[in-house]
Amino acid sequence: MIDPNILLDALVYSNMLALLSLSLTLTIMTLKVANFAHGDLAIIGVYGAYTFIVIAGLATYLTMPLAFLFGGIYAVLCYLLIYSPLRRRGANFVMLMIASMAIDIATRALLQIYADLLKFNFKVYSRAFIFNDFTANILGVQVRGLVLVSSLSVIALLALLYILLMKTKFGVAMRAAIENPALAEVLGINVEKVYATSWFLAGGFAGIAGFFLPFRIPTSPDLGFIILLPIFAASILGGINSLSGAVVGGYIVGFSEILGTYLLSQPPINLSTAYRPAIPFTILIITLLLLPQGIASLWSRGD
Amino acid sequence: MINLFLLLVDIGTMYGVFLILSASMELEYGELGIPNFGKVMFFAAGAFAVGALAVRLGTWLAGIQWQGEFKTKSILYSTAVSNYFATHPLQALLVFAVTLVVAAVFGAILGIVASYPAIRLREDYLAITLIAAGELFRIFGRNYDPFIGGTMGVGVPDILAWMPPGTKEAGYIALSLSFAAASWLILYRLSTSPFGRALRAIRDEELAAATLGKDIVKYRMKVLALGSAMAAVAGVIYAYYMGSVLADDFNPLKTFLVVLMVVLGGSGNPYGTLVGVAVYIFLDRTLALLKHYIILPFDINYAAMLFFGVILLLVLMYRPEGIIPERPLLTIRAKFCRTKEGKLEKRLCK
Amino acid sequence: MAVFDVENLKVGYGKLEILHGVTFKVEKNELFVIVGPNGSGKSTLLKGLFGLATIMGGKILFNGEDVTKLPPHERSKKGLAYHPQLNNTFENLSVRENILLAGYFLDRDELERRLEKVLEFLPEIRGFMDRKVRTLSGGERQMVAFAMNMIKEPNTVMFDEPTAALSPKMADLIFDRIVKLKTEYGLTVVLVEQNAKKALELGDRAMLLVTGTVKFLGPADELLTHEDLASMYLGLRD
Ligand SMILES: Nc1ncnc2c1ncn2[C@@H]1O[C@H](COP(=O)(O)OP(=O)(O)OP(=O)(O)O)[C@@H](O)[C@H]1O
Ligand SMILES: [Mg+2]
Repeated sequence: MIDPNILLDALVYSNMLALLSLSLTLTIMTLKVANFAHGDLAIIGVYGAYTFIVIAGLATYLTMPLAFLFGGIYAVLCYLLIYSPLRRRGANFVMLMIASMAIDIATRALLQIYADLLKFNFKVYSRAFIFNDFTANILGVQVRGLVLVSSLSVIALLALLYILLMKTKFGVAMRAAIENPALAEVLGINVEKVYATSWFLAGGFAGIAGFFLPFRIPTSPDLGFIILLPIFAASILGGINSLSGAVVGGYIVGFSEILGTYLLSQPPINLSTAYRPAIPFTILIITLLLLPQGIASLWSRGD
Repeated sequence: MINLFLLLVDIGTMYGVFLILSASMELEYGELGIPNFGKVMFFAAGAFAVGALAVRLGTWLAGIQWQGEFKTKSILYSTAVSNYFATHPLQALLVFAVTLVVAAVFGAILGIVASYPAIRLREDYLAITLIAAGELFRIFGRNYDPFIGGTMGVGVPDILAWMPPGTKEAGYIALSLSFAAASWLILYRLSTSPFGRALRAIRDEELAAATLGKDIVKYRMKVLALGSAMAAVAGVIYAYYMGSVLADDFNPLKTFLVVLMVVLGGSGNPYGTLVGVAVYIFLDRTLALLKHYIILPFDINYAAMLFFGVILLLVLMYRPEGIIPERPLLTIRAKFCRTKEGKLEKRLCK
Repeated sequence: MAVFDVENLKVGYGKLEILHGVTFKVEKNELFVIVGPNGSGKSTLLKGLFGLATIMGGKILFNGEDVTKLPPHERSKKGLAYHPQLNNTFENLSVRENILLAGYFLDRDELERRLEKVLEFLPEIRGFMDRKVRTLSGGERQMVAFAMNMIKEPNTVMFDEPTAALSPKMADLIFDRIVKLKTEYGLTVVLVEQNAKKALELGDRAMLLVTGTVKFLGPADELLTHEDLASMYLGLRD
């Protein structure tokens, strides 16, 4: 039997992945190109939060909104300072993709420098740090705080996003600008503002996801690149143009990755857990070859 | 004091290695419009082939009995093989030739495999697929010790050990630059030949190229096979020059650097690669020199990475055609153009 | 004062010139019809008038005001509405959301009030207010686009082939409402139509565009009965 702790860990990991793949999908819908620096947004969020924990002495969970803010602001800056001007200058798909790769490299370098400075100036751990958690007693069962907080966060954020997109005027404008920017412009909608807002939300979601990382594993600047593959796998499995698909994709990839790695590392296979990326990679390949429209195509035609 | 001679050797050899890589990237991206974001995988293919084979072949030729684990002993035995090569140049060249051929064939096969997704996927999906494949290859090299010594790395015997000291270093430069020259000439010839024109036709107008009767799939496969074999050759030279192969050295940052060189130099123009690689190496060495003189509260290597990332962004934004722009004279490009009356017509465009 | 006073207008895309100097006037409360073969530049002219294509020369006066350089949303504020030929609705939004978007800058009450009026004018829409546009027929979509313009309460509406690919019955319905705009609501209408016969019968004055130049400008029935032009360019005889 599988240890329930592993299932809970898979749930936490999948919560995180769902937020990341959802937010990646949101940015792809506006830019039409996948952003290779998406994982880094999560790390920006967590370093922002961590700074306030070690320097201002804030309680860990209180810094969650800060993670949102840092991730969101960085994402908006990327959009407004790089992607949007590039597109106005007529950059093609491949150029935007190369730009996102350059942003990834520069962002990780910035984070490394920041980590060095943090350590140098404040004499605190700035790499491979972890967050301490609390345990809650629910009906006599001990549960890690993260299990509750991450699950509730996903539910709350999804509900908020749903209400924003479906029930507010701005949300309708957002969906309209994503579907047909030219017509939205004709109707007098400021498409640029709408897109920048999408990027802020996407960065914020990524920041929250990043905030969950140090509870599970030691966190360092390069982690953003390492989690990129499962994020992409989840988003592509979800069908790249479907927010609901991205969330479902996040859970499928997350559970497969954790449970698959666990099972393969047990006897009789005894495979090293280092091969873990092989699982999202396999999902990615299978999706691209067999179901290029993603799982969302199974229940809708893009929403 | 920095040894000027060794510095020059290093610059010359690395220029050659990066020129081969850039030429292969340029072949694929500049000519086909497919940027190979998995470049480092093919580079690693060559280096890993050398790491796995050279010391084993060497001990076998020298008749040395292998005792102990590959992981812990490979460095030791590669030194022994180097000593043997010092008096046996023919055997040394044989090992080089065998590993070179194996690496090139291995690279080409990987390229053909990669062409399967390359023909079918949109560019960003392809990119993540190739990056991930490269990472898995690296992880395999890192974790499966009998392959290339895992986290310890593997020793590579010195195939030029028989040359007198001092000339040996020049030998590595010559080796690297001659392969670089050959690669560049391949690129040059292809981009000016009818074959190259076909490639550009594919890049510019898929539909047009298809109606011209060119078999796109076959061309893309050939280009990827050729480009990947070239990258593998670069890996071979790199491995012999470094004297060891460490899996973690072959991370996606290498791919990024090659992309930087190609875009910086100016893609679509073979002269662009010559310049792009030179500019990169100049900047990189300058930064390396600065390290000796500046003390910063952070690791200057990260500053270099940040610098290169920003440079690439600035080039994309303010000079997307690179230092040396594509010369339309090199090829005659037929496209669909619009006449004054608004009709579509196939002819040369201004 | 004319609603449109267009002088030697040159319009194109990027560097490509499509309309090579067009001069005409549209009077208040008239139905002005533009016809011409495919690719002659009819859509391009409307886009130029609305500010969506590059203006390369000439002048556009709208109700006496020079709007040549204004962006689309400014022209929209002056009471000009444009009904594009293609992609004139958001497929993935519901009909209600589409119309709501068109009235993005109105406050809630005003929007409700106007929506009621629009639904009186196009009562057919009531039946599919909450369906996604992508599930609608071509005619129903045209009605949605029509409604999206009406919610802005414009004084001038430009239609680009609103009946293309519609059944004759549906086309008649759309024509009927377009005529009503003029007769009952006192609006000015510019109508680009592929169905030249029908449009010219309804229209007051007409313009024939051929490869970016004006071949005819005058009363609509005159073009309809013109010996050469009608058969040569509009396929109305033989
Ligand atoms: N966005 C564009 N960029 C470049 N050329 C364009 C663009 N849109 C239209 N054209 C060209 O401009 C010319 C006129 O097109 P336009 O759409 O104005 O014709 P039209 O008279 O409306 O034809 P139809 O009856 O088929 O709608 C055509 O040759 C067309 O190919
Ligand atoms: Mg038209």
